Amino acid sequence: MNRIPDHPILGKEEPSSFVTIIVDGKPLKAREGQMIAAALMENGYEKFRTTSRLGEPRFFYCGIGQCTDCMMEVDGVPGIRTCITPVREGMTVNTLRGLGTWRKTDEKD
Amino acid sequence: MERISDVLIIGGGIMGCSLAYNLAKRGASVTVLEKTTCGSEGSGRNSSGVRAQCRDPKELKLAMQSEEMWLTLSEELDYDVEYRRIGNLQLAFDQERMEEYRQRVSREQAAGLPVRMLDMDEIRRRLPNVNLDDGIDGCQFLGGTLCDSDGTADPLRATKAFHYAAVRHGAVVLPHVTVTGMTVENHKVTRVHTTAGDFSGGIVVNAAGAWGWEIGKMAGVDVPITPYLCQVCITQKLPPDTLKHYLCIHPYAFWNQTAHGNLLYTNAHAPLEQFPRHDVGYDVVEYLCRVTQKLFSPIGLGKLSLIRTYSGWNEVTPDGCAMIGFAGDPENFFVDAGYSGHGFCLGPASGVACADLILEGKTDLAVSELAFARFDKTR
Repeated sequence: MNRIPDHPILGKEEPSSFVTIIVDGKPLKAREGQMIAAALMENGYEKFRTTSRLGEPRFFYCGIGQCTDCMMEVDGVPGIRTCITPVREGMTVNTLRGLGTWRKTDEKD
Repeated sequence: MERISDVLIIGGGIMGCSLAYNLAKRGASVTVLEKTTCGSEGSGRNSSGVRAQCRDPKELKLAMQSEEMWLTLSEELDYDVEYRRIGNLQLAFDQERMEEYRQRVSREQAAGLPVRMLDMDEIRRRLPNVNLDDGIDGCQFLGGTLCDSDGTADPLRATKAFHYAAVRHGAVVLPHVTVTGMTVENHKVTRVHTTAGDFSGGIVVNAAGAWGWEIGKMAGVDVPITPYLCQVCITQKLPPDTLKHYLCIHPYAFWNQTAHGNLLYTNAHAPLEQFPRHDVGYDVVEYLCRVTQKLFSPIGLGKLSLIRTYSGWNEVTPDGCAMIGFAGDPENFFVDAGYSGHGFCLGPASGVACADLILEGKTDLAVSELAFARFDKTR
């Protein structure tokens, strides 16, 4: 999906600094402050997860954190809404299969 | 609109609706007056447990009879109530409770209930995702009980299933109608006054749950019901079999995984000592979530999203058991309320029993020890 560097209303894009996130095991360049879903879209990703009953692919839909279509497994935790979660250096983002698996993570609750 | 019916039921929860269904099925004309909508008060907002164990002895037989009915309820009502017989596991955290459970289990087994004591090894096998090492509130878990015939169903769906089935059989169910008073003449309730005008019924049934005391007062009957609130929390969906049983840790909280995968938990039916008041607030939600986080720490549920929380009406009677039966005076006033936080399981059987009592004056179901008359000091 293409970015719009010179938008008719938002104006010219500010230059970004970049972080690296790991998506399905592969490093990806993301802009600091960008939402995970936006970073993935910019890099051509079109499948964020598969549904739990029929295994169908899902992308983002509402983009405002309501519909949960964009959920992925982020830093080991399934069900994170990527359209409202900003990227972080070293973050791991994996395609979510069904409802995913919950396991103890190192991060403090 | 027909304002005179054979039976006028005040309260459209699971008791009111299951009674309406059973009466309508047997040819009686029935009208149900519901203050909000069917299932919005107590019936649709409970812990979703269908449980026969761990009850007052007066209710055990009826609970067992009702559990039999739950097995075929979806089919009978032509509406999926999501009933699953996943068993109910009660955890004990002190010796006093363990002893109480041992005595209770022998009594329940003698009545034919498939219940038994569990040691911690077996509990660990059955609850692999639950932290059983840290105990609760400073006390270690010592053991528990498991009843295989217990399970869970969707509270709102079950209430609605009875509502719709009652209507299909000819009952009239009127939501958003509040009863404001009654006229009693010659020891009979002759008119029930509501926000939608007057109604009357050959028999008037008080199935108003937490508000049973108020309805009783209008008829001049002392119905000893004290309402209080419980808070329910519902999380996002979890993988199936995250929690395999309906789990109870009296007097703290109860947990269930719904048919869709959400974790549903609520504070116990007795008000917690920490919250000695008859309402709920965010602090109860926070407390419940902390206990849940700690309990499910093996699978890191600290990041789990709470998607919904609501409070539901509950009530207690002086002996913690339901009151079923004619009040005596007025002679056409029938009480079917006060299930004290454990009525959900009894819904199906209560509907049949009360219809029996109203239409035939007797029933084969085990409601004699729950007679309303036991609270009537004049009898």
